[in-house]
Amino acid sequence: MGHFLSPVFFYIQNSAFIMTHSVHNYSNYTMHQLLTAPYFLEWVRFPDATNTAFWEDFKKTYPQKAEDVNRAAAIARTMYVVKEKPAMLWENIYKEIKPRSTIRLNIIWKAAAIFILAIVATWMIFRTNTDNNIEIASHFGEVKKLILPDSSEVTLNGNSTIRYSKNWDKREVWINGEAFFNVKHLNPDGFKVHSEEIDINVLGTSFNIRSRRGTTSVVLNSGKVLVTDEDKQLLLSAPGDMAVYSKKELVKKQVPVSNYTSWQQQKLQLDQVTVAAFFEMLEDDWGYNVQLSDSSLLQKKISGEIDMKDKQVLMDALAVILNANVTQQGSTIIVTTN
Amino acid sequence: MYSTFIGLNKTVVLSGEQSLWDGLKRGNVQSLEALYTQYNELLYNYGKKFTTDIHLVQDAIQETFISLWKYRTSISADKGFNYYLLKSFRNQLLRLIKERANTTYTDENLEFSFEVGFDKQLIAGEEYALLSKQVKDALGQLTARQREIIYFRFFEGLSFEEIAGIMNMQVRATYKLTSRALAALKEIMSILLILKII
Repeated sequence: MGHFLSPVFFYIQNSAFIMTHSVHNYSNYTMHQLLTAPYFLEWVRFPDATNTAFWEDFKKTYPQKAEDVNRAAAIARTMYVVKEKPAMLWENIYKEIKPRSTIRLNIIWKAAAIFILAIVATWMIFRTNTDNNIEIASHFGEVKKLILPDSSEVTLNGNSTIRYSKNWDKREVWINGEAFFNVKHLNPDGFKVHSEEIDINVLGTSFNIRSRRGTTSVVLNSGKVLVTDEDKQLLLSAPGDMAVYSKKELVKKQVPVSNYTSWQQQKLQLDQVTVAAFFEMLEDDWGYNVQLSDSSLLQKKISGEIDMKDKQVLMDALAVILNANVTQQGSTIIVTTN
Repeated sequence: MYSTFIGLNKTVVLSGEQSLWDGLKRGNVQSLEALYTQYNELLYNYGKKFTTDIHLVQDAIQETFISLWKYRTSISADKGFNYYLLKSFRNQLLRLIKERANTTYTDENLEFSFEVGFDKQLIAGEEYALLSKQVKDALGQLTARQREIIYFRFFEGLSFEEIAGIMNMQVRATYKLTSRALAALKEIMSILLILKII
């Protein structure tokens, strides 16, 4: 029992613990022993005034141990638990929670509907897909290519969704997130793309659409598209024509096309983009969560090309562009200014 | 556009995660998917410490997110999203493990084990092997609950309050268990080292 009391740890309410032992307890400790000494680890992981003073005092009292302390601290900081990369099984969850379409009916029809539903229910159970829409989504950071029933090509950026009617009676799709369209076989029926905010009538071939945080932008690559909001129409007819809908206003500008389409090669071409807008992209398309110590950084404008394929390259590029320390913990990026 | 939450470490947290939880409350399936993408790895790796059966862990993750969806309107995550999901997941997983064991199962006979690594640039070769073994032996002498606390405290950086909440124990008990666990760890380490030296 005796040795379990030495050293004795005391906790005072919710504060960190205080030890009754002195620096002399550690006079004979080797580097390895320090690495498994609880109070040493607590200091490395959660330094505060008390434990920092304690270990500084130790180094002063036993200067021959200072190097061991520094080395043990450096190693302890790298200590990690071996991890595995799990499979993504979102589909299984989605199957369980899939929202059923809501139908609004008055009371009489409700009664009738319940009766009919009871009969239909049995039949429904055996149907594998009761949904009339096809919905295809991409994960964070995934660039997904797909071909629509009319053989038009769509490239989805990360965390984006495209939805269209299963029987494809109209050439019409709904977009949430970002996509590049290459529309084939134009005919009088046209091809329509909807975002939450605007509608696009496609008259020509290829264009980019991005719909995030209440703002939709359309950039024409080739051909012609007609962009419509509640009360206005804009025709985009020259490559680089851009329509932006934001805060209930639809405006037209001219931009370099490649700045808006390079994401398909998992590259970001930034041209005087604010750090705030860039961080939003990292959040919306890649699922990163950015934390930063200095919010004034957000207004800074940056330019350049960033390769998003290699995470380490991205972190290094961020550090250089922002002139800050950048570390990654899981999906969180922590930016601390020097 | 950004939330202005300022944490203890004075970092500004961007809206990302908060907006996902807001989206979830409004019934947005994509928000749930994004949360899943974000937390799958954390939960999976934590779950694997209890069992080697990956299907069990995957099932528990699935149950966690299905119930998150089911109770989305009544959930309060004021103690943090991390905390909420870890606690909910732990309950789901232990329930599944108990069902599987088909016996009366208490927290006392749970397993919890993990492997610790170091940066090989700082410590290499024989010394690496020796240190790994020492840490492994030292951890092996602790109870599963003690190892779980060490995992949360040192490797996931949780507070004692959070650990207590996740593991369904009183805060004081965590302090006690941790101090005892830490004291025991140190004690075991020094005994092992003394034996080696002699």
